[in-house]
Amino acid sequence: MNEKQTGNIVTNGINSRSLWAEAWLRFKRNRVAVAGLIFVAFLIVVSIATLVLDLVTSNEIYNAYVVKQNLSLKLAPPSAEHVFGCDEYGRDILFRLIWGTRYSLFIGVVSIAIALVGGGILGSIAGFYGGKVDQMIMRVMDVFLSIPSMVMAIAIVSALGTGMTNLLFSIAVPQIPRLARIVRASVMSVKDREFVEAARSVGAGDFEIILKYIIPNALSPIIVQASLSVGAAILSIAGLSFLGIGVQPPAPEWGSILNAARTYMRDAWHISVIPGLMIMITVLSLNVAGDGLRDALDPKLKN
Amino acid sequence: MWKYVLKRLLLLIPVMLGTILVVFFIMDQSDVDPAKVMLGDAATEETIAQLHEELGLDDPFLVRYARYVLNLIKGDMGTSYNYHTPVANQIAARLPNTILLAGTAVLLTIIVGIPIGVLAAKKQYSFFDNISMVFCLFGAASPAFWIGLILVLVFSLKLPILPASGMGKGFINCLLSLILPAITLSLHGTATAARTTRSSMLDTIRQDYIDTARAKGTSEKVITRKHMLRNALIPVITAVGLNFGVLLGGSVLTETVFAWPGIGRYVIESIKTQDIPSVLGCVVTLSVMFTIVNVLVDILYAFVDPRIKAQYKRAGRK
Repeated sequence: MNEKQTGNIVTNGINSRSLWAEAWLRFKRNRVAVAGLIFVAFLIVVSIATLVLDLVTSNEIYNAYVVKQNLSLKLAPPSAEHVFGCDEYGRDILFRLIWGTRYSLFIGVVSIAIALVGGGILGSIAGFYGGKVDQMIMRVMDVFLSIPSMVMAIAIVSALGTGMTNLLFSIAVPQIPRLARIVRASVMSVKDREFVEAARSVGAGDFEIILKYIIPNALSPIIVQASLSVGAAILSIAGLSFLGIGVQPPAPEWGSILNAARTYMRDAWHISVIPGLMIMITVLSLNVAGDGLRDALDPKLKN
Repeated sequence: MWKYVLKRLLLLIPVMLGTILVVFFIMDQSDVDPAKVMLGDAATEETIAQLHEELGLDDPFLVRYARYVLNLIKGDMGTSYNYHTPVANQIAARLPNTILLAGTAVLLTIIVGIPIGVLAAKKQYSFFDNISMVFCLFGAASPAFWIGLILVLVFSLKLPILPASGMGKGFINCLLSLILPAITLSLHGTATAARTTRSSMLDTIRQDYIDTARAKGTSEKVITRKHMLRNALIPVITAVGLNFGVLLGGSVLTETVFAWPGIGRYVIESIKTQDIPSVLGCVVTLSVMFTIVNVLVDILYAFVDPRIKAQYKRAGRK
């Protein structure tokens, strides 16, 4: 109690909340961003719930409602029983959308995590050491940046095949240079600060300095960029699946539901409209949450 | 300034070589044996080995890369497994269509996105500003191919006024068939351009030189056009240039939705038939296009950003 009081006296007049608590307060005031975050959290809950359900029922629901074909309901329009209608094999689209949530979220998050590790290592080495090492890494990144990311993803998938690992890889690799650039810039902005010098003077090695002192202090722009990249990754995976070279049928990935939409557009508008709306709302939520995060972490950047 | 332009152009060579190296390396990971695909069912172990020898398929990676680059300079991209004709011919037949589509989309991005951004910034927090920023948020979050599907649904099936697919013959029909794909492809870029223009304009609106110009009695039109927009344009050029990459990637999707006879559709067709030389050729072409556009954007800076001009003038005088 006593100690706490002295603490308050010392920081009197200065805001004593931590950076993250401060950012959270600012984030909460942004209603649009909070709505986005809630929707993303909802999707996460849905995908975990379906995974648990599949585990408990040993795929019974998945097999009976999500992938089982029922040709008598082929292209059935939305009705009370099938709210979003049925697809070209008579499968309920609502079920497929719910069970498809996991693909978009999982691939989006994991591929960006992979890109973050790759870009993080390259970017922090380049930013920390500077000079020739920096030059070399960044020139290689420039080359990667001059290949459009969707084109690179298509090339990777066509060479390696459409397994889940390859898909993750094909979405992650084109994102590495962008994240490396951001990490490099934020590492450079903190590496000459006093606390880094202090750490070095007490004998910390380069690796320890980067991991313990630089990265935590350079984190906010990196987190913002990563959260915005997840949306881009979800769009890429939907695109690849739409082209038939992403998540393979009968898995109910949102983009692959749209794959059939073009063929059956004349008879079944609902197949083309609803999955796309779902993708849009998801990416929109991620984007507004990411924007909100940026404004909350760095109010100067607003507008 | 010409020194700057020359420097950028020379830089194009190593970047292109690097780009082709990366693409060639990725495609080299494919476990499709070109000899087997080329010989088809008639392949025996002997004929396969013979073809490997002839084509130098067992040479070290760098040797094959060097050979590919040398052939590329001569305009040779190998032979398509599927069509049994030179890949370069297939690509040359489709490249103009892709350029037409991508060019129209960039044009739309500029003539729609920038004015929206300028108006939104001039009337910040107005109804128009809010509406257009909501449009931008939705535009940036929608899968472009899905917008294409919706446009076909509305304008080709419900109100049959525009063709749903293919490229029309003759000027008018071609123009009509270009409308929907170009809108689809430009949407993402338009949203980005409008947003970037708005925030960049808002930065310049608050500058002192704008107050100075107003105090001098310069008309508002001239202030907007000369004092604000010209200064606000640099980040917009960057955004439009970077977005060209997204646009080229999107052209693969858009061309598939609208059955547009371009490179994007060809690459997907080639992937499905395991036509590796064609896939490689398409990816190299698209990447080289992006690289060239990046350099053109860099050169454009020299004309728009007086700081670069000044830097090189000073260097020249020394």
